[in-house]
Amino acid sequence: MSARKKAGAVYLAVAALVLASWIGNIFVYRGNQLPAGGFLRHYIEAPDSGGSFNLLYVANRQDNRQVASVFVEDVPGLRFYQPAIQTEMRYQKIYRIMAQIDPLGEKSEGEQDPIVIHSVKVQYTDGTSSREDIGEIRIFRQTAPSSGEKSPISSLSSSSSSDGTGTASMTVKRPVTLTGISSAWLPVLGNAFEWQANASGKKLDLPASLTAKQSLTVSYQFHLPEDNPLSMNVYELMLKMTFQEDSGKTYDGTLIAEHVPYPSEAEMHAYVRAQRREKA
Amino acid sequence: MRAAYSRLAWGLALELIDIRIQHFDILPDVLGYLLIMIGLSGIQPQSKLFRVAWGTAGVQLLISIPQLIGRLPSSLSLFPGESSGVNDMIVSNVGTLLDLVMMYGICIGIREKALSAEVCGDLAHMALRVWQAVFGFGAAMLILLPFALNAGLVTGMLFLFFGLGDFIASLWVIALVRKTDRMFAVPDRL
Repeated sequence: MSARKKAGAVYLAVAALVLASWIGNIFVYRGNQLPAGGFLRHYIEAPDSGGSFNLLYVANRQDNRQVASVFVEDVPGLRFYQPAIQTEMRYQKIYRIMAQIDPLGEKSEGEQDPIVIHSVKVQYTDGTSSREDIGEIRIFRQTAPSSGEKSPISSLSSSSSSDGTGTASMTVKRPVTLTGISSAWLPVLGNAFEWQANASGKKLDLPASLTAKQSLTVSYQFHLPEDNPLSMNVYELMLKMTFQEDSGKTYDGTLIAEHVPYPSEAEMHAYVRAQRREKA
Repeated sequence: MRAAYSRLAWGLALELIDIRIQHFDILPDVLGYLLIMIGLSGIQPQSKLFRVAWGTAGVQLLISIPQLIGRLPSSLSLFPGESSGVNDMIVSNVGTLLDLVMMYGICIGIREKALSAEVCGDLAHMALRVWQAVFGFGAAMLILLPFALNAGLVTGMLFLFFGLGDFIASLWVIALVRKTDRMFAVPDRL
């Protein structure tokens, strides 16, 4: 083979490799792009009067269109702050948009309680706007807390961890029965959420009678491994503990249980694939 | 003729070196390509390959103007989390491809000139070696560049390695032009 032909063959081979590199990389790149930015699914219960929660918005890193502002027309007391980056990934960014809830005031006639929000109005930096589904947010009017002299229990401490576990410790001040623990999202989560009540180190079956000075611990755990599609949802549960005295009077205590997704690249890729299938 | 080679060498150096202050290149590529064109225009009648290099430098000059005023991307992020978009990649790939064509014109043009002179075997050999080095690293960059879309740490390190090789090969082109200048030394005024 002459030098000229050899050089030609090398140039052709390089051109083929460059072409293959472009085709392969664009194929992978496109496969990792969301069809459009959007909110994750949120299942949140929150109190009014200073309560807050976060909405998470996922967009491709290269998206020029970004969220400028968010609002809910029907709930003027709900104020959303500017988006802040929560997580930066290879192809996407997750933005956190904090919502602050002002006191909702007395319930007017015909108004539902809790207030349920399924979508928000979003204005984008390119001047466009759209209504976006966010899941379901339930905002409860805050009632007088069952604390102080009236409450049969006193709260000692509570803690939560990013691994989806949390605990609240209380002391029983006078005999009372723990009748139940509830949240609107327990049926949604099913086996993915587990709670347990212990008194003086023993697991309780509800309803359970508690004596004065007994210590009560309520712990929870989310079971949302990466392969569970629910793991990309945001959960904020107000676990309502209902106590009943012998007189029949009831008191509520609340424990917040939270799951915020911090996806791995593989988990985000699975989410992107699901979104692409859904929008196809 | 000497001034032509000198301008060509200075142009290549300016095009190669980027010193940026607040993203502004204080040694803009526009000047580099302009000097390359001026230099090549003094020697291009001798070889059609120099004319190819001159034309390619002209296209590069046109592209570097919007880059200078920020209308086109002039640099890429090649590391995880900073991956660039497809458009940035295309601009960068076209730039690398045009650079390769220009370098081919200069190196192989010098080789043909040296071979035709018959007394410059070393220069012809050097010109071929320089072109092979430029092509090797340039081709590697062309193949690697699209990986910046899906950049990982290993890809970033490979870019650094081949980018450094590309830089050294370009310095070698400047050395080749200087050597050609010395070998065919004919003062301008003659």
